Amino acid sequence: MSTDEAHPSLALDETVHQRVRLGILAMLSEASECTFTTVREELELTDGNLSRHLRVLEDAGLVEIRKGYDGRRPCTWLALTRPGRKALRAELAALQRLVDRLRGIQPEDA
Amino acid sequence: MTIEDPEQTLREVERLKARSRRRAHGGAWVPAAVLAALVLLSTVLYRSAPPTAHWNSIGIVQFPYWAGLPAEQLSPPVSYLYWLVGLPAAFAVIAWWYRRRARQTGFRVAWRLFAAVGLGALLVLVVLLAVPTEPPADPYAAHIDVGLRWGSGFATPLIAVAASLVALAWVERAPMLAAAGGWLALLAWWQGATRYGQLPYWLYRLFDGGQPIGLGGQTDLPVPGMLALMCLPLLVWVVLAAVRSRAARG
Repeated sequence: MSTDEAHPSLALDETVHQRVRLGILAMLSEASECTFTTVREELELTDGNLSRHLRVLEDAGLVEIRKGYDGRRPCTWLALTRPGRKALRAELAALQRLVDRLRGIQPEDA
Repeated sequence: MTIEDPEQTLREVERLKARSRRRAHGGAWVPAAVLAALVLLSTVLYRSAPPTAHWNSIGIVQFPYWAGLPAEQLSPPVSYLYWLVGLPAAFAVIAWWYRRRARQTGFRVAWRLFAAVGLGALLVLVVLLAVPTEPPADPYAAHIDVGLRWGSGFATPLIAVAASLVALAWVERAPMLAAAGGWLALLAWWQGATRYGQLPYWLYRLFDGGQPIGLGGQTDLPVPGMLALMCLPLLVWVVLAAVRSRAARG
């Protein structure tokens, strides 16, 4: 790695890198849609906490929120957008580069 | 910053993704099994005469191959109804199952795309085969034509099933399932484009100990065996996926 190359940590996206938001994106990346309740239970969050993070992700265009019904019960479905999928991929790649750097592995050797 | 932070984050994310993947796609074997059952059950649409009898009774095999394979059918209208009712009914069952699973797991896969591809392929087949064509000048000559008929290979509902399997593989992110669908499509197309049981010359040479022959040969495999051969990779995938899913739950 050349010394003038930017440090991988600079490639981390603040919106995506936050622990809970990264978890939300990771879960949503594995299905076309996922319920609010499922994400909340898996990440052990409160309704308010999850809503706050979802608002950040929705404002950034990374997640779509759709309100619907499951039978008669109201249900909120969450889905990853195309930019959201791209952002998650970029974030994981940046994290991997960072790990390699901290281990002293050159990218071309990895 | 220590190495543990990003490394631990990556590990956590991978764990979360793997867990979500299992929950979202762990049931993919069910729709695949329904389609496999539909193909295997279609064996009841054929006469049980051995293929050699078929070989000697050119003219009985009717085109389009509504039963699926270019072999003697018990009744072409029954074959037609089997697929035109059976495939949508199979998709209705699969749709019901996907809805139920989404309620249980909280994850939804894009099964509508998979159903649309399967039903769309069947509709295209029905529409294309309904197009009136000029009758051949010599119907007998048309029957004994042993050349490769590319278009005829697609004139079977088995192609719609194969297309469904590839679409299912896409939505369920299962590349090996796409390969199983491709295998089914290849055999279905080959049978329709040549004739029932026809082997390509290179395969015939392989079975025949490398004897030089230019025209290929024919297998004596009866229809149930041929359908089982077409579904073999699919069945293997279904069993492995079901075992994996059960192990993950346990």
